Amino acid sequence: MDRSFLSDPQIIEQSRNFVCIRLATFEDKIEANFLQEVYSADGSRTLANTVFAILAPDGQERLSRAHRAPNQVYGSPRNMVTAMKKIAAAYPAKASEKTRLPQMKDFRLALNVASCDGVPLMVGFSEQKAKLAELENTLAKLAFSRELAGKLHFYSTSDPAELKSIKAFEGESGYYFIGPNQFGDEANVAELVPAETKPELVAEFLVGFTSFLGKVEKDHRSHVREGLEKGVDWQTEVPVTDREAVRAKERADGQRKKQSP
Amino acid sequence: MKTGRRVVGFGVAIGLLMFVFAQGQDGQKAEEIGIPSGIVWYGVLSDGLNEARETGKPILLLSAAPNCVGVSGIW
Repeated sequence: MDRSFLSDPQIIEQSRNFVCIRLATFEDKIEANFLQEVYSADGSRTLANTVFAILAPDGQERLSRAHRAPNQVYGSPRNMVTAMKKIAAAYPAKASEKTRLPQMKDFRLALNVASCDGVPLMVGFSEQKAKLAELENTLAKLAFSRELAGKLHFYSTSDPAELKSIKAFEGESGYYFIGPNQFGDEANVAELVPAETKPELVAEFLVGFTSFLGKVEKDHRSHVREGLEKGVDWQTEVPVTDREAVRAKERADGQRKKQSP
Repeated sequence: MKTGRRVVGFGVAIGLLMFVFAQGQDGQKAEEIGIPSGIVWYGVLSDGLNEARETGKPILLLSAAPNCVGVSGIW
């Protein structure tokens, strides 16, 4: 991902006028087909690891060229900010009754993505659907609040089996503040905030922790080397079609075989 | 600040988080204290598309693979 664009303060500010969708490539068949359609609209291209485009609210009309990253479309953050301002002015936002909780499709992916971004994960859990809806509503408001926007990831579920990989998880309803490990395949509960806690106290808790913690930055090369040494092998949901990525994975798999006893 | 029952003691929690987020393992380190603001991403296509249709906001679409050669935890 092109962090120089996506961490630019003005682009972050302009993003509030957009619905921002970041999909995990090759982790869902329907989403991969959608990305393929967007990516190949300018000509037949095989879906790559990364895709970038700006779309109209209908999700169909493209308002920018589609390419692998924002720098290939706009060249500079300043150009992208100018384009975003122009697009946002043409599509003024309507009031919405309820904001959806921004989250990943399952806990496995949510944990990995939080690790990729180097931020904590807040999970709302209750086996009671009505209570879970309350937790989701609280978290959705916090996710878009000025104090917390983009500082952590969120997930919600009513299925305790999905959270069985969390150490210290005992099935109690509430907000689980989780620190993903280096490879995003293990989770430790740092804090459990009970489901009955008032939203303003949940907010206070999260603002406190995200002010105290730092975002984890990883050295790409050493992270991959260590992952290979430890036998980490993430399995995608759909086959990878990025030719360069496929070749690199084949070389890495050869290294894994040599290392396996 | 009272947040309710803690799964682990506060000191343990801080220690745990410092381990995970600051000290970490080889190849990762924490930036300066305080997580910076960022873009709020919908990670599920249908959620994002429904939100866009209801609010009339345009869509900033991105995708990335959350692994490198099968090693998770990195884009």
